Amino acid sequence: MSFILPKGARDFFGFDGPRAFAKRGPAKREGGSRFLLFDAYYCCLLLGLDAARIGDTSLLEGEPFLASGYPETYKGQAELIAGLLVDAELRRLHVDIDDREEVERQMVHLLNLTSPTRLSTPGDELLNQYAVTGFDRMQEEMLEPDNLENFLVGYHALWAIQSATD
Amino acid sequence: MNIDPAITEALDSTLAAAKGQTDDFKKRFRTLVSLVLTSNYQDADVRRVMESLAVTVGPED
Amino acid sequence: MEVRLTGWRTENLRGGLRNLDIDLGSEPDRWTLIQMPNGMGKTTTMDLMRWTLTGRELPAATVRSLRADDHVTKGMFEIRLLIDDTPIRLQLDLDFRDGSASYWTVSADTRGGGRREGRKLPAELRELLKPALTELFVFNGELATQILDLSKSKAAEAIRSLYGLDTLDAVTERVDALVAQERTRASSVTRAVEQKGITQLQNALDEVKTAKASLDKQHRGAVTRLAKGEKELDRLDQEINARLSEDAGVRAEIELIDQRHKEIDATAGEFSTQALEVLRRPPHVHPALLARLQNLGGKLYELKLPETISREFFRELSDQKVCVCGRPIGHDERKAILDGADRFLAQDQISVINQMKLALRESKGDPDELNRLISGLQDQLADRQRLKSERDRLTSERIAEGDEILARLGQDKDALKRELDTLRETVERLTTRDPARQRALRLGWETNVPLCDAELKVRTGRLDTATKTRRFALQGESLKDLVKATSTRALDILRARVTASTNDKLSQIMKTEHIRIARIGGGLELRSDQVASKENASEGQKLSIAYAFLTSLLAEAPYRLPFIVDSPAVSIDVASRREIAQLIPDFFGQMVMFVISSERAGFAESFYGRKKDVRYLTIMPQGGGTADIQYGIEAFKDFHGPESVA
Repeated sequence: MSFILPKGARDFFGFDGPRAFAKRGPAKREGGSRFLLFDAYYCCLLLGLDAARIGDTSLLEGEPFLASGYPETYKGQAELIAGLLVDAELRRLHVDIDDREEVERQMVHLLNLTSPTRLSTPGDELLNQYAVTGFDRMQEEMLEPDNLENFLVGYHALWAIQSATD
Repeated sequence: MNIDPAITEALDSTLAAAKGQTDDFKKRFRTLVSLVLTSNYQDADVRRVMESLAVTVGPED
Repeated sequence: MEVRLTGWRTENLRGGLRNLDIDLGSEPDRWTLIQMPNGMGKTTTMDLMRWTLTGRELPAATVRSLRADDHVTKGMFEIRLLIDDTPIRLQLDLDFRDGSASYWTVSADTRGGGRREGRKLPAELRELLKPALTELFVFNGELATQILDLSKSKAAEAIRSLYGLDTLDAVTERVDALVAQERTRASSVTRAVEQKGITQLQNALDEVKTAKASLDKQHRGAVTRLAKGEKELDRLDQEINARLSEDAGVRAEIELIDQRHKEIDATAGEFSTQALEVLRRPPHVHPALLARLQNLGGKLYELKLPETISREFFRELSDQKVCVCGRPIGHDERKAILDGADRFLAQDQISVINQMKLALRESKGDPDELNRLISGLQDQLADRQRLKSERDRLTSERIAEGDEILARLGQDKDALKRELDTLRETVERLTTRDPARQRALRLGWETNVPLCDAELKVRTGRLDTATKTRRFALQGESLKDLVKATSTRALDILRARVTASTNDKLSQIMKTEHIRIARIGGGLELRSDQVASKENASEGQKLSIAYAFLTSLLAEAPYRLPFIVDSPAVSIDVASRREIAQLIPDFFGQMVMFVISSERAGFAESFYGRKKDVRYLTIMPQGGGTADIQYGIEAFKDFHGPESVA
């Protein structure tokens, strides 16, 4: 499946090719090389899922930045991220959590055993749309980070004041 | 000289993905690769292979 | 097909190489150990071997640097080989006066023993002897661990070279040349009427090309200035430090600050690495996420989702003659079952929901772990900030006390920082690809490189269309893409193959810890069954791995090649040397090893026990640039070189 970054995310994280936080300082600290494009995507995604709001596909970049499946370090999280997507969709669509048939229908719609992401095509596309709103939130509440350390502290602070929507 | 199976395999997979190309082109391409690897080719060979490629020339802005 | 080394000869070269003739015998032994002290021209000999084998063009300065003394006018290096039992001699003639060099071949079939110019080798062998590969069998042992170094790409380069993938990539240049030729030809046959339009398009294209050249130059200039500026910034910091340290008391404080700064950087690095790892697991990011995951899991259990009976069950049942309840299944019953089956989930849908359910049930997260790490990180950042204030305070105190030099340095530093910020902005303007940013900064093809590239493509396309070379140009692009795809895919396959055969070898030799090559990227990435990514192999292990890799790689060549190595084990301890000496002799066919006397212990010694197939040479400096060669194990053992332990 194809992960697509929201427009502007690369700049926000200062990506120069594969290296994050490259633009605003000398290339001394290696934090930049540990932080993947996918990490940026994931951080946006979690925020969007938490808010149960999706954004417009026109706010995504033109091409996927990663083509098939999660990077190595995220492979073990596929089912959990799928779980968060299901949870977000149930909330967004105001599905009664006790409506067995509807819950089942949503899950069947979103999941696919054979996909490396465990998600169907609509499910994969929704992830990208959640990343859009997540990135919006990030831009509103955080300054463009200079380095990994500042980003981690700022991002963590975002969650500390997160508003749980239901 | 024999071509290493890795090259053959790579050729097979590249050509399989080259939709819309003629068998004639594919044969010429394989031959070209083999000639290149043995430094036994000239520009005219490359030109001939190029000319047998199918391309769509779209409208220009 | 096999190549073996039978000897070499030097004439009038510097170092200990005025007049050296090394004979390995017409049927060379499998292992040759040559003890040659440092300064006797070992490195030069290895270089000469590589140059002669690859036919490298030598710059005049290099040629002259080989000169033994001011009296000699010419020099020579000759390498003697057996190519499938046919003796052949490759010679490098050097003229020190005009700095020229030429290669010659003497082979058995040359009438009267004369020589022919050039390296007359079988075509296949000559193709093989390219620099990237030759470096690997005329091998500088001290670089062995560089094979493992990911930032250098020797491992991948070697594979590309060995299999000719580099020749494939060179086709790109031929394609570009052909397209350029076609454009020139086409523009020269255009009719006058069309010519005017074409001239306009050509001018438009030239305009963009000029702009591109200018932008590239600006970019290069900015990047260079940025690099210089950052170095300058470091230097200013050092000067400021030095100035502060002139006062002994301040010096002590500064050293303390620096020490503390290093510690903070290391600790902060640790915290941020760990925090990132924790962050990558959703249940650990925030308790709300964990709660949602667990609740969803719980709900699925509560709702008994998914049910356990699948659609497939009913479909299979409908094929039976008798139902599980015992009643016969006729036409109507079959239809009812199949209609009802659709209400149930398919098996794979059930499986994926079950997988998720399991993962949800097992999800746990320690909410405090991330909090703790971030809190620790914040403390480090705060400390860092405090240290910076400390340092600033020390500086401003000195300035207040009237230290004008320090004040000036501080101003210089501030000015430089501002300049660097401006430069970074310039670089961003020149290089950003983000359309939103390009709009925000009001960039166009005249001011931004990616936009300029795009405009270049557009205008080239228009010109091509007008001159009818568009089709040919597209064919060129397509061919380049196909060649690249083939080359890339072939490299992947070959990497996997060499990895597998190296790992085979490693499994035979590394019995205690099973270190394997995980993949061949630029260098070799390791893993062991104990850790996923093995970064800290011992020196002995690293060397063994590098040699195992070299063997596997060289084993794939169409010719068996001798392995000539300089200092195979000099940089590791004696115990590791013994380890290496046990393993690598059997890796290769013919091996010629240059060792210095201090390498005898642990390495060379391990050969003494072999009763045959080993030849020992000791080369001893005689003064005046000449050397004496002693054959045999006794002379080898007895020699006391300048490096041997007293």
